[in-house]
Amino acid sequence: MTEVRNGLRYTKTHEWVKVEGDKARVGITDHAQHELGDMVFVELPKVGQKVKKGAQFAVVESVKAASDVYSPIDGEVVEVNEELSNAPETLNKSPYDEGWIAVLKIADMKQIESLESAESYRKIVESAKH
Amino acid sequence: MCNVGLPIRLEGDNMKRTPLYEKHKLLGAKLIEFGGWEMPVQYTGIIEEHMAVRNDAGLFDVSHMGDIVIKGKDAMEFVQKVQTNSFLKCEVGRMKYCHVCNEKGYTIDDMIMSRLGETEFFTIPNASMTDVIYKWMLKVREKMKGKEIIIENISDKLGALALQGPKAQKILQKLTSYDLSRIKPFYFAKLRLGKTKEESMVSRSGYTGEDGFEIVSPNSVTVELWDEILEAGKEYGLKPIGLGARDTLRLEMGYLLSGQDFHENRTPIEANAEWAVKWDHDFIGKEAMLKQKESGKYDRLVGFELLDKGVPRTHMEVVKNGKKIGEVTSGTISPMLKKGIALGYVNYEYKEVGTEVEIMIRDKGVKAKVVMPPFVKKQ
Repeated sequence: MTEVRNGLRYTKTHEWVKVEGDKARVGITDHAQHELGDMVFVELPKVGQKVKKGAQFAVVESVKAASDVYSPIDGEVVEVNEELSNAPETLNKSPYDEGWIAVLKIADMKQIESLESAESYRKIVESAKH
Repeated sequence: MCNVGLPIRLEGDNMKRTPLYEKHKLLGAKLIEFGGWEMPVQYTGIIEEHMAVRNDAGLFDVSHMGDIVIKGKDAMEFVQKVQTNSFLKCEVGRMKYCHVCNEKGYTIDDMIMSRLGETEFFTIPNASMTDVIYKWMLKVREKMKGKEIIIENISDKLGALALQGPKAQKILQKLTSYDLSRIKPFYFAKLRLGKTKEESMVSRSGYTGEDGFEIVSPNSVTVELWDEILEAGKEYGLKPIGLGARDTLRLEMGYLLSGQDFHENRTPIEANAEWAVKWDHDFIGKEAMLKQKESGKYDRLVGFELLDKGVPRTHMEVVKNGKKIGEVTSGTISPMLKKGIALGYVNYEYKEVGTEVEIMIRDKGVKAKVVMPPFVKKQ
């Protein structure tokens, strides 16, 4: 079973968001890493880069396929997880902790509210399995 | 990530299933569509499975591949005509890799052909090409009026396993009293393995670059052997292996994948498979190939090793000084080398080993150099 961690917000496209004051830490969900399989490459956004909700801002690649990662909100990249460049498998091992991708400065707090809760994301994952 | 899970779990109605389908489900495999078949892409993880084959052993279900028998008084004449290699001096019990080409010299499919008897041959086309090859063979036979050539597609009756890796022989030896070291590479023996009641065709061959065996049996025997071999291999670290690792393993060795590294658009000469073409006999496509060789001006399949980070993939452009000179046909991250490797075709002027090129990954040129496969050298 894949983990959907309580207390985080989610997108239908399998990114997670952890609100930290006026910033948001972003990554991909346990379900996403599980479905994609062994990660071998991560293309990180650049610090200072403006990102738009729903637009691609990173790429993760497993052995089999490359997948775009979409920004869950509008904002600006303030920090990226450089560790992932050398150890992309961290996305598999620790998707919610060491495997975070970037920290964004939140442009509009209201957008956070429109994201999925853990409960509703859990349902999305469940329905994907049937 | 919108495409999460998309390549996975496509449980369609029209997909064919091997006799081992239920076993794969029980083992928790992720299933995908491949060549019209619903097949396991991985059980635990592609990299883990890949390393198991390189270090210990792995068991593959390859029952999706085809099985065609060619026999009759004039079978040899037909075989010599329909494929590129020569079987005139091939003794019974031996097998050879070959290409089946059209009149233009383009490879329709590559396969291993075995000599079962003086006038009987057996070949294993790729899954998605089996029907195409069978029909092609019937068409070729039509032009050989008055000859006795029987061609049978028995793919539905036979299953196949591949047991690959340095511990493969130790594992299989537990299932037979026949000394397996007597089966040399590209030879086979008919053996009754384990508790099974019917013979299997056991060859020392494979698609991984490791020592190992391919075992072709009636469907019911294949199911029994799957369990027996997995059990026998427990003490040696044997794992079931999916198509994901099958692809990375073959790619590390530079082995071609039908339909991807060629699909009736490349000759064996272009595809770096001239070693499987014997010029001392007449075969379909020979004239076109000779003409191409004479001109010298044809694309070549080469290997690429990435010098920077990135994952080369099928259809990516190969560029030199801003100009497109070729295209990637297969690519991955090598689990052994931990860098990007690829096969692809380049204009002949750029075929030399060491040539620096760029592979276009998401509109960015990533540095790579031309190398001669295999990417992973075995001792």
